[in-house]
Amino acid sequence: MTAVRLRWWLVALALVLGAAAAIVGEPPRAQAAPASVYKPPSGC
Amino acid sequence: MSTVLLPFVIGIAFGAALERAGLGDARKLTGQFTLRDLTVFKVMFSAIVTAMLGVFWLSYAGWIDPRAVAMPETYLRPQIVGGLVFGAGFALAGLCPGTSCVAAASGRGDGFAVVLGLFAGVLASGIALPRFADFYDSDARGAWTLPSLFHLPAGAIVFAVVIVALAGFAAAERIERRA
Repeated sequence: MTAVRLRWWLVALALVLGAAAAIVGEPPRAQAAPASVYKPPSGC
Repeated sequence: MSTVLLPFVIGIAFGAALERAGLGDARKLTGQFTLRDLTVFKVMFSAIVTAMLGVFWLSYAGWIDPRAVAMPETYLRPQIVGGLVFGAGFALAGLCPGTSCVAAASGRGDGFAVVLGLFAGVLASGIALPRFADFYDSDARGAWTLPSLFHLPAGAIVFAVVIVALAGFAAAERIERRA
């Protein structure tokens, strides 16, 4: 598969997953809210 | 895997990916500011879209709880000032904190210089913190998220960000072709 073709497949995948997310609305929440386990770093 | 080893392996993989994408080279990064090479924009926005779709669908599948992910709080004015200082340093040095570590790890002298400047800046701002502590903690807005800001479901925001990203990629390619 060429890089160009792979890129178009990734674009299509992102669009499908994004559109499906819009249809779903909100992901169902888990039962309990555990303590935070991940602190995102700042900067890049 | 231990809590030490796993982040180490992920960090090595992240650094290798940045280096492979050419982001350890200050000339490539400064191309962002002269609109000649928008690789940084494309790499970072790709990472945002990938992580966003991953978090959304993995939480939908029940594999992760999004509430377990700590949300950094918004301090609007201090963060705007911080962003401007960060951007000025980035444009001046040609490297940001992550890419300076990558550049240093691959033996670039400018990378070592920026890492030294980074730690000097952290030390200096830590020492000077009591002088601007009031400003540092001002304008607190809590953990802002796009869904709460726009009063829209998370899924709608996810779709909107995907569309904005794809439009941004197309615009970036067009700008690069003109340069």
